[in-house]
Amino acid sequence: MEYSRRNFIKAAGVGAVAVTTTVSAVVSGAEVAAAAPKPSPLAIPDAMNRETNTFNINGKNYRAEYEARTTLWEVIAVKLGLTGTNRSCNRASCGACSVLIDGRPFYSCHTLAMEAVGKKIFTVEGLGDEKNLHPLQRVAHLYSAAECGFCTPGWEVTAKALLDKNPNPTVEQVKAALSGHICRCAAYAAIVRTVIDTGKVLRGEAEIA
Amino acid sequence: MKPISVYRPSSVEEAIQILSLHGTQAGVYAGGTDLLIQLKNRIEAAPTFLVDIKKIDGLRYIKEDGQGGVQIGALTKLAELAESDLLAKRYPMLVDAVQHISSPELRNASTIGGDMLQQVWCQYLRGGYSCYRNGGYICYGAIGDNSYYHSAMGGRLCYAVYPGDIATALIPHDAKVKVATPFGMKELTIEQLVPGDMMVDGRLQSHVLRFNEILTEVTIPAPKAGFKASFEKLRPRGVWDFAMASLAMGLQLQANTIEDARVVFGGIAGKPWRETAVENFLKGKTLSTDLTRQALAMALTNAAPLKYNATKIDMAKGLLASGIAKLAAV
Repeated sequence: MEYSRRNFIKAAGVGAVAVTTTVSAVVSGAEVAAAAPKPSPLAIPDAMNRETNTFNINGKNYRAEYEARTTLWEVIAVKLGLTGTNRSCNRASCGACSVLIDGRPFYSCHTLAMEAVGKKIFTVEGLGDEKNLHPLQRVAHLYSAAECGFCTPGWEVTAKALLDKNPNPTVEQVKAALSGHICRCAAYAAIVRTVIDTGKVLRGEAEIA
Repeated sequence: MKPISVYRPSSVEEAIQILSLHGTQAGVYAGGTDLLIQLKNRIEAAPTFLVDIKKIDGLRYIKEDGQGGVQIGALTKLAELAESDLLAKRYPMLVDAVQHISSPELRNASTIGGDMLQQVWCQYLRGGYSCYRNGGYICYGAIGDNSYYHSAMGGRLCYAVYPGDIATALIPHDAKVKVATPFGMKELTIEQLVPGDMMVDGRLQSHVLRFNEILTEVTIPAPKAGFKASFEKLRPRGVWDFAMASLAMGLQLQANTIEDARVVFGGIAGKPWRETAVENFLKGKTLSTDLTRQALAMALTNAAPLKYNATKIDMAKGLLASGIAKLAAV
């Protein structure tokens, strides 16, 4: 947008005597009112308050209705009943609610549901189930990296995103990648060891006893 | 969470029109990491008509201009800045600062524009207290618990510190921002953008953008040969938290002689705090750790700590000493 006569007149207010440098004539109030078009209320589309859309979670499509203020966690756990993902702080601080959106970790309690429409969502249910655990979950069980288990679904998906990108992370890289997760049982040492050793398992250098 | 309505304009002009329609009840929604916490805590000043500018094309890019400078779209995610090879090559200090911001999950969501324009993280404001920023007439931080995120360099009305690291790290690079207003684009330096504790449209805020203005681009000029910079940050837990104190230092060197200096402290005042006394002292000197003692004596002499946060000044001075040592060692 450039500085134009129309904008100047709008800013100066209708009815004020406006003198422009380019036009020599003094513009009267009536002329100004005619020249400045009223912004049409129809030009602005309606605001979204509530809508229904399809969510792709772990490769399956789910349809859900949500409000503008509904968070992704509320859709996943409350509306769709995938209760593996836990919500703890609800303030983007603890990391228990992490899910992957297009392969990147996000706090699902702090992402509006409308942001994840049309993207691939990955939750802990996609990682493995009781019959068929992911190596990350088996190693975590071996090392007691999940004590109460409330933070586990969050850091496991974040660790999976890290291992997908970098199958041989250093301790520093694991700590940096999991820095957004809080474990109140303080199993941090076991969690870091789990991620490092799962990398070894996934690379085929070690086997789970 | 407060009930909200979301608009999805397809151009900056349309977004400005919607913002103008709803006045201060409307707000720009980009990454949302700051805004959603305000809405969840039901802060009265938080907007309820959100203008989702993510549908607007051409605000999310990192590109290079002919003169060797870099332009960054305001919607660029912090994770994209941290992973950018171009920025790592040109401005390693900025990338270092971005990597120290909160957690990977939040860096995936939040944007560079949002980081610069975020609301302060005073526990009283965020807890819904009726303070200056929330329609009241008192600063609880000045009289209550001010041990973490309150100013140690004095204040006018609100004593909360400006929390953004990117603005602090951009000042040594002499970066500028472009702002779309109803009357065209305007360009501001970072110091003009975040002067701290400003009354704009009847609201107290850290930045100068009016309710219907949108930050669109950050422009960083090309670094000159011999430019060295360092960023350091102290946090209560070492990860995730906002800075108790941070220092972005940039030195323009000519064969180890300091030609120009920028010393910017973050997390200790209501704005990125440029310490011109130290800058002027450093100019013309030969860079070595011998300068540390005199620089420390000159730094932050007009500090005015509150009851519980005098330690911020010690932290900031420690960062200055380690910053000089780090740049002298390279």
